[in-house]
Amino acid sequence: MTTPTLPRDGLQELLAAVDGQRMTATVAALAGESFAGRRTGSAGGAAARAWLGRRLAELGAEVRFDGFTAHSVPETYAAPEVCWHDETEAHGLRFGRQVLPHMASAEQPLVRQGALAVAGDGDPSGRWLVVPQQMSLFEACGHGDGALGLLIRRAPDDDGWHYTMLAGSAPGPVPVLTIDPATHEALRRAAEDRQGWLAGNVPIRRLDVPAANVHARWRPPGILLTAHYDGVGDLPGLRQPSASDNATGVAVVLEAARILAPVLPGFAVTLLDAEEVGALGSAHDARQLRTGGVTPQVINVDGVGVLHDAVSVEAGGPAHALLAALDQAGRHTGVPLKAGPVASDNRRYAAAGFASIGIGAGMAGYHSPADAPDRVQTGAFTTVTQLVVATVWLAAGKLSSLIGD
Amino acid sequence: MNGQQTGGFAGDPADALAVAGTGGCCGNPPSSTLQLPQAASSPCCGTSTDAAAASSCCGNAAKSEAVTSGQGCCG
Repeated sequence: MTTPTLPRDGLQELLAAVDGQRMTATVAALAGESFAGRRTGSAGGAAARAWLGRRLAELGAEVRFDGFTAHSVPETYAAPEVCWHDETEAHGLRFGRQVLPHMASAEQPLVRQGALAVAGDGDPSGRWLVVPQQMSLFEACGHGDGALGLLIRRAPDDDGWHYTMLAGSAPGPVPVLTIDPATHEALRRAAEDRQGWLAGNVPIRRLDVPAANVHARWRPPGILLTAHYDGVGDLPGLRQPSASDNATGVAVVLEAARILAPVLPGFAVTLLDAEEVGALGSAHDARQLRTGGVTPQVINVDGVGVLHDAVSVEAGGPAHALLAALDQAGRHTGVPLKAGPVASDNRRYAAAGFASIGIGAGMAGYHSPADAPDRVQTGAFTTVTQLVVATVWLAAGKLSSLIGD
Repeated sequence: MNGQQTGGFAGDPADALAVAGTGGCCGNPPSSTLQLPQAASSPCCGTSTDAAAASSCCGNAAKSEAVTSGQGCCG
C-alpha cells in the first residue's frame, strides 16, 4: 500500500482548535460519581446517556437513542463477606483487593461456612475448594458437585486491584470467588493439611437490562465516529470511574465532532452502549446500518488515556483508503502508528463488512478503581483527537479520488 | 512526538488489516447475516464456535496476556 501526498488546506486551523481542557472536563464528568461508572443498564449509564445526548444536541446534531436489550449482564450487588480461619486466627478478605466474585459464578447470597479442600482431591461436599493454579475453571467445575464454592487464584493489577470483567464465561453451577495469590497460597496449604475453614457468599446475579446507543447526525454519514460510553460500573463501596476506558474515547469523539461537524459534507457519531458486556451496542448498530443500506467508514476510539511509543491501529473490512488517510494524518500530525490489537467495537463493524478502524493507546488502570481521571494524560487524548480530526478531514476530502479504490 | 518524520506507520499501513485476533472473539467473519450475540451463551464476544476457532481472548492465559498488555479483551 502506498500513501499519497494530500492537500492540507484548512487542516491546520482545525488541529489548532483541539481543546485539551474541554476534553479533560468531559472525562472528569463522565467519570464522576453521578454516573457511577456507567455500567450498561444502570441508572448511572442512563444518566450518562442523557448527558451525552444533550452535549451532542448542543453541537447542532440531530440526536436519537436506539434501544436494545443486553441479556444476562452480571451484577455484583453487594460486597462479598469472606473470611477464613487457619485454626489459629481468622482472616477477613478485603473486597476488590483480595477477593471478588468471579463472573462465571452462580449466585450465593448467603454466607456459607465449610472446610477447605483442594479441587479434585477427595469429597467436595460441603467444602470450599481451592482450585490449583494449573487447573482450568471448567475442570474445577467438574470437581465441584456439592461444593460450597470454588476459590480461583487471580493476580491483581499493578495497583493491587482485582479487575472486573463483564464479558466472558456464562454462569456456571457453582459459586466462584477470585482470590489474590498470597491468600490463595495460604488457603492451598491449609487445604492440603486438611485444616481451616472459610465462610463466604457470592452476591452476583445476571440481569437482562435496557441499553441504548446514542446517534448524532449532522448529514448522511460518510464517516462515522464511534466510542463506547459504558463502563464496568461501580461496585458496592468501590468507585470504578472508567476514565481511560472509555471516557477518553468519548471525549475524543465529542471534540472531533465539535470541530468537524461544521465543515464536513457527511458526518455522524454513534456513542455505543454495552461494549463491556460483549460489544453488543456495535453489533446492534452494525446490523441496523446493514439493514438500512448505509455503508459508512467507521473510526472507533477506545482507551486513549495514556500514550506510550505509538498509537495502536486495528483495521478490518475494506479499509485500505481509510488506513491511507490515517497514515497520512499520522505523518502530518507527527503521531507514530503501529498495527496492534484494538479489541473493541471496531471489530463488529468490520465483521459486518464495513471499512473499520480501531484506535487505542493505553490505559493506566484496567477495569478497576485505578482507572480514574487523575491517571489519564491530557496530552494522550489531545494527540489522538488531532489524529482523528486529520484522518477524517483527509478521508472525507480528497482521498478516495487519489487512491482510486 | 513532533516532527513529520516520526509520524505515521513505520511499516505498511495494511499490516493493520492483519492484526491477530481480528476475525475472532470480539468479531465474526463478514457474513450476510449479523446476529446480536447473547452474552449468556457466549464465552467472549462472539459465539462459542468463534471463540474456539479464534483460540484467543477467551482462554484464561490469553485474557491475562491481553489485560497485562493493556489491550484488554472485548473491552
